[in-house]
Amino acid sequence: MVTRLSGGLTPADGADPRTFPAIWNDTADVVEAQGTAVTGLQSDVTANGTAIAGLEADSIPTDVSSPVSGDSLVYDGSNWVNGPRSGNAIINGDFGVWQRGTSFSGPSAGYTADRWNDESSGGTLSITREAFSPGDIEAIGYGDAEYFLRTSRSGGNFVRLVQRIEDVRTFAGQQVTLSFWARVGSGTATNTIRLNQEFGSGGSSSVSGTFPDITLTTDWQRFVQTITLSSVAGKTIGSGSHLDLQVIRQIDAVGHDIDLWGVQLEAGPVATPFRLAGGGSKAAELALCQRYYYKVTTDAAFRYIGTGFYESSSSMLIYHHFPVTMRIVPTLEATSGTNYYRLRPADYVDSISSTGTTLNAGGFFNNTQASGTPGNAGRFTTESSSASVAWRAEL
Amino acid sequence: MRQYEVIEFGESVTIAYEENGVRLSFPDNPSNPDYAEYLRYTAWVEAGNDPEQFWVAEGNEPTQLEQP
Repeated sequence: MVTRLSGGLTPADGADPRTFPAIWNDTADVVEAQGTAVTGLQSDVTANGTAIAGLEADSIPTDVSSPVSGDSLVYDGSNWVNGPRSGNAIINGDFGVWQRGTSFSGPSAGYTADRWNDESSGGTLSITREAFSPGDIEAIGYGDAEYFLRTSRSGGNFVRLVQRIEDVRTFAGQQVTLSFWARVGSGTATNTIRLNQEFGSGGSSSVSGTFPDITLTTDWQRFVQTITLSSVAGKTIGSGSHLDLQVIRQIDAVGHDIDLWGVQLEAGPVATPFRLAGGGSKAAELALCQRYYYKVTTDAAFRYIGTGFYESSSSMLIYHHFPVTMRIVPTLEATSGTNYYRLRPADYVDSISSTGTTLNAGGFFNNTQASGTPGNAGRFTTESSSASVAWRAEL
Repeated sequence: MRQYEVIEFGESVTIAYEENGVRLSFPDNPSNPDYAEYLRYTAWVEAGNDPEQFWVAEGNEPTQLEQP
């Protein structure tokens, strides 16, 4: 039987190729390529019908297991191995989306950059968005990198930065590879990464996935770690189940600045070049983030939120659609204070509550201060720079 | 201690509370984790427990209080 390869073949100039389309056929005894020289194949090979001589078994080592139709091979620097079967499971791995702001503080900052939750404890913490310098970008090797996350702490108990990946079945029973770039401001710091399987409300007890410890230094380095996650067979999966990636998890780093960029979690044993979860598009990455959190306002006064109207003489209603379908029917987070909001040209109100919320749309109302003519409409705006309105559907 | 409000507006039921100058409001939808927490809280109180103890009881404590 003849198996033909096409496209993406090993370059004739010997340069390391990044991908190689694999064709798996246990019954193949001859492999043909069309128009391009093939090197390093471990069977009888012909190109355009002519046998290629001089090939030796193992001229390119392979370490490939359990291939399935559609697999690709990737070169890991010394071997051809199974390529990833998924993209990057980490949303906002390049820290490009910061809907909640760009500077946070506290013993524990909570959600910071989109999808990234700080669960640190004690002491004084700050988490900030930092711009790459040209030298940093050269060290990273990605020209379109813009920002990285910096966590700084003095005192306290531990530092922990987490991303929750929806659905505990993700990568269950599979080998996964985590990669990221990191450095510390001075000295070194030990990072003890975890990838825990959390089975949600009413579900089985969590299962801890432990990576080997790594040591961060003052130089940007790409760290790559591979583990195999436990199977979820026989487990009970409750609502809100997820993988809990604790990418920064340190107890000896109190007092350090830690910089982080390019977090990627993918199936298989190899770290492929960093790629956003949305496939590379910044717009797609924002949309992925908005599935979990959507900031309506920009923390500024006199910003238009939507069109509202008086449903009765004592209640106003503002309704709007979300930019993407949210993960769950969301919670409205709205700051409150004297005259924070206004249904122009008249009423000021201090606070708003949600109503009629679905996965795709939601309403705000006030029925404690509103006073107007039923049916009259107007622009609903923020009237304070502290006014903030957002929808939250985080795990 | 968190003070929940239950508000009926039109055909919708909204549960709301204020914390640190932020008003949080959510529907009575089982998929919403804030509503699930509200149900656990009300069950806790209806069982005769001290409402303030709900937030430090096992399973309800904030995750950031755990040791790594």
